[in-house]
Amino acid sequence: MTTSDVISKLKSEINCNISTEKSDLETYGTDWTREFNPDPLAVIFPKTIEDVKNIVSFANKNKVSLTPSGGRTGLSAGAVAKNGELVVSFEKMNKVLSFNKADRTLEVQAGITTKEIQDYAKEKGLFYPVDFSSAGSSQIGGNIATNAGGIRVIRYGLTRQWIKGLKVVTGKGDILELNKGLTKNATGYDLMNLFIGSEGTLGLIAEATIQLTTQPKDSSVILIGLKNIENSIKVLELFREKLTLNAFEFFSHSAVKHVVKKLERNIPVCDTLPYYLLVDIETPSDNEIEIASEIYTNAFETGLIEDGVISQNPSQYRELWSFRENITEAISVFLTYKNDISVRTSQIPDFINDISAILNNEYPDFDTILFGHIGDGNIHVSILKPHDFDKEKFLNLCRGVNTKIFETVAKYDGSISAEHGVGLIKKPYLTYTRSEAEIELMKGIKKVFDPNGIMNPGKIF
Amino acid sequence: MKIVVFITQTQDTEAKIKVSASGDTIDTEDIKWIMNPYDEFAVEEAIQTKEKFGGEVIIVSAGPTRVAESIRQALAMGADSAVHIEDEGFANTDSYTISKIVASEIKKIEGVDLIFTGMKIIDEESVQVGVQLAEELGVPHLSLVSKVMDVNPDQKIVKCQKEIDGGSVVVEAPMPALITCPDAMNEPRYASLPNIMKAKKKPMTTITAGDIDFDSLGISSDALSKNGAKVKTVNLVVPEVERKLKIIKGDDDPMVKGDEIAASAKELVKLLKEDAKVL
Ligand SMILES: Cc1cc2nc3c(=O)[nH]c(=O)nc-3n(C[C@H](O)[C@H](O)[C@H](O)COP(=O)(O)OP(=O)(O)OC[C@H]3O[C@@H](n4cnc5c(N)ncnc54)[C@H](O)[C@@H]3O)c2cc1C
Repeated sequence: MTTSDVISKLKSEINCNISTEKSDLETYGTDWTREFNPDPLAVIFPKTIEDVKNIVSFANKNKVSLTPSGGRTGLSAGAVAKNGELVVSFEKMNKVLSFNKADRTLEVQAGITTKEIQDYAKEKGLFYPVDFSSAGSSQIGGNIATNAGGIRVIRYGLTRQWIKGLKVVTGKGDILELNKGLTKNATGYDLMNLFIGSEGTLGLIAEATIQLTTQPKDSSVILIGLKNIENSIKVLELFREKLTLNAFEFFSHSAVKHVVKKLERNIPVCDTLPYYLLVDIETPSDNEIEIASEIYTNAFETGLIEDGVISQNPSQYRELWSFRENITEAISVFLTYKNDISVRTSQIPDFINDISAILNNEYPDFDTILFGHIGDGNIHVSILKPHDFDKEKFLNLCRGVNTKIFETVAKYDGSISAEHGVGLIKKPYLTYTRSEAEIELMKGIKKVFDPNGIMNPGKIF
Repeated sequence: MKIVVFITQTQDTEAKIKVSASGDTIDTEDIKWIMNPYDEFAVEEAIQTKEKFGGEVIIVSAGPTRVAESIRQALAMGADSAVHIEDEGFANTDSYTISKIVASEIKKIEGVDLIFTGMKIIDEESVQVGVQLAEELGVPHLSLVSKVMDVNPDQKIVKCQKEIDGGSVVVEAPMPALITCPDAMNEPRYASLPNIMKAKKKPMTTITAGDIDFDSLGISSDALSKNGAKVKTVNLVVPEVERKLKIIKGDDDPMVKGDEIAASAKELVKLLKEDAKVL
């Protein structure tokens, strides 16, 4: 069958919107990464789980591969269709199906955005804690498929922690209703959790049951300047011992200087220090501020920290966070080579020193910036291409140095992808931190759910 | 030299404003309160003036209990002491009453040379309190000052710069004088944690409605209420927006890049042709 035969067959057999317009193929065939050229067969827009089942059964019969596509904010090229795949976009599956007040759960279709869930929860006086700067576009299906993390992991965990049930269509074509909203369910293998973080390789996530929680109390954020990274985790320990932390973030001077330029606003602490921390704490009363102040004063007097300020109202809270939240956007004017790596939190200082040494040696002339969720042991390393430097030469250089970075990650028993998934971009490096035996088992699991290998082929391994 | 700053509170700029059932006030249940941003410029300018020319900074505020939070913020920024004229009624009255009462309290402070306040409060935008305060105190008023250039406590002269269309002017006035502070006059400082703790120990005097002699101020005894106010808010209206606007993600949107812009442009042309029928 030729491509156009498959498309006309698809159009005649499946009652969904289907597009083969060039601009749609280019838009829906890729994610935020833009490293690969998209080349999908077509884009299809199911509206119900039955539509999804029909699409999978068509794909199996006609040997068509499927690439699930969410909000396309993924940073590992997991949603990239570059080999004639049929892109299944969840954009039209964006409804809230039900809300259960007693269980505090929300049943939704997979294409609803993260922000819509947060807003819905707020309207009900509740809270959906997973949050990051792409929340306005990313979909819950994509969040589940990547087990997305973000800025509140230290307090609330990853997406996985907030999923109580999934309705999926496996690559084989079965509809599975997994876990059905239960808190406790000790009945054999946990199939629901296998789908969380599976990057679309086992099946399509059509619906999800989301756990909501109590809204956090009033919070304040402290911006701290550090002379050296060794002290960062000591500061974490001091605050965590006595207070409830909502977030513990860090960024390098080289990162924040781009934000300062973009926002045309100075950082309100000494601006010549190499590292900064953002400590977000729950402060329902003056008591917590007093405790924070004691910790701060001690840390300052013992030379752990150099400078710091605290937000005293909501607008200051937002402004201090804006220095962290605007980093990705501020550097988006550059072509950026990104790594998202993790180690155990306690090893962060040594790890950052080792990584910085590699970066300084290998890229003495490039702008290399570090930031991330160090309270979770997670750092983002971004290398910015100078505007006058050749793109291919730059990418090759970066890929070359990856070996050294990932050898270091492996030395620390860390992970080559903390929260962005493997997709296509990190696939060549998977063996650094997952053993051959593990990868074989993963391949075996995929075969069970997707015997014909139609689900997002080529991703992860 | 004593420098007084008059501050007030307003709703957080990101708060969702809902009109209350009575229609003449807003629903304050879920509202967070912040120091009026213009008053924050005034506090910063006063502290900078103190740092350059000496003196002490005294915060004066009139409002419900919650206002104390913003007073403490000003003290943590570097002010030295505060007077809180506390009454729930300040939230319902008009700027005339506020100015009368606040001026009478400022008069009680001896040796005041400068008074700073925001050029306006961002909620109902009456833009009157600063001017009325100067009148009640009988002092010159320097409006829209962009910079305090010089203060001479001995000769009792203050010199300021003001921005005007296409340039700037330098003005001076004998002290005591009142200065109203415009947008972006300076960058208000953040308080350090130790300064927040120190602020708790700084003197704050609280005055209640019972301490105010309404008669001698020439205002009625119910002035601190809706009924007693000379200017009353009768009705608050949130404009009905008919949602004819359709936003297509474009260039300014951080989530949109290259090829998506082409797709957006295409959709726009389609809508202009089919929906709006202007092409
Ligand atoms: C500015 C910015 C900041 C970010 N910050 C963070 C952060 O702090 N933490 C973090 O974890 N991530 C972050 N990300 C990455 C990204 O937002 C997350 O990975 C997000 O979960 C992706 O969701 P999406 O809907 O955009 O998925 P997509 O990019 O569309 O897809 C991601 C993967 O999920 C699969 N998929 C999508 N929908 C389904 C479905 N219904 N069924 C099965 N598989 C599916 C796709 O095939 C692909 O493999 C950030 C991205 C940007 C651009």
